[in-house]
Amino acid sequence: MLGVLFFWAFAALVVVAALSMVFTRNLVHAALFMALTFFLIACLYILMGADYVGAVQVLIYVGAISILFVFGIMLTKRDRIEDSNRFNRYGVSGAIVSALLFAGLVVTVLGRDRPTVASPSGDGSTVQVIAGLFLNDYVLAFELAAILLLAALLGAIVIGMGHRGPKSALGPQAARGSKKPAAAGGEVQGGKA
Amino acid sequence: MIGLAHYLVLGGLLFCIGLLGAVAKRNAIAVFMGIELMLNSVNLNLVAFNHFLHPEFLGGQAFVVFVIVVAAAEVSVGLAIILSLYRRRAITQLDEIDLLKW
Repeated sequence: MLGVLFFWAFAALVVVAALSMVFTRNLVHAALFMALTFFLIACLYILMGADYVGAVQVLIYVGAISILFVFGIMLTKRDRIEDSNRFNRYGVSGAIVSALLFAGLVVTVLGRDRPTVASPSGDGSTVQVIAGLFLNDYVLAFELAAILLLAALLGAIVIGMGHRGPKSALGPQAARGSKKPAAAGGEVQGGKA
Repeated sequence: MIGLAHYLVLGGLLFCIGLLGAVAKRNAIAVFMGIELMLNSVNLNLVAFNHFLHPEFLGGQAFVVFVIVVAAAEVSVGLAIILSLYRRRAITQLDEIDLLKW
């Protein structure tokens, strides 16, 4: 059956892309593998009949968040981009913890019977049903999500403005480094540097 | 036949890969990528539960959209924090952010 073939193809590709994202040495390559992972997850959504969620995944994750990550990588300087995505000293223990968690999850999932055949959910698009849920049942959560997005927008602008903002928390001395060693903030920074 | 267990195991595997990236990476942006992968695997599980258990309700897919909204807000604020940190101290490696550690 074609659905089974597509599932295994997408599953293998998404696992390979996610592993490449974690294990590649180049941070830009990691961001591109992350975009590929998100796109393949969108394919899995569409395979399950969730067309609206798949479209949202492509628009927001592949289109916006990945680009934001690439901007973040481009705006921060580093020595060599080929060696910018190293593991820290918890690499081995983190791998062991992840493997143990995966084993536990597999045991839990396979411990009881799960339904294998989805009941048919109609041929039409899911957009109408989800829109009805948003504007009737979940309208409060919908409005709260809008307020959260507004707060995140303002917060990102204020944090991203840095010391050029009108009300900087540390003042110009701390932002400029240890030019004046009399200031407390400059002294802490000079001590660390 | 592909069932719910297949999607749950796939989501668990992606979650564990994201966890490895989140706990064992040195760069703050790479840690953020791991967190995003973990959120995506949870979304995959939600859609799978919705598809196999209650395909007529679609509450799981609405929940996925809320998770995506929260993840987008988290990424925008988190990357702003990383950029601000880079501008003040010129580091993005998490091991070197130890101003409070004695």
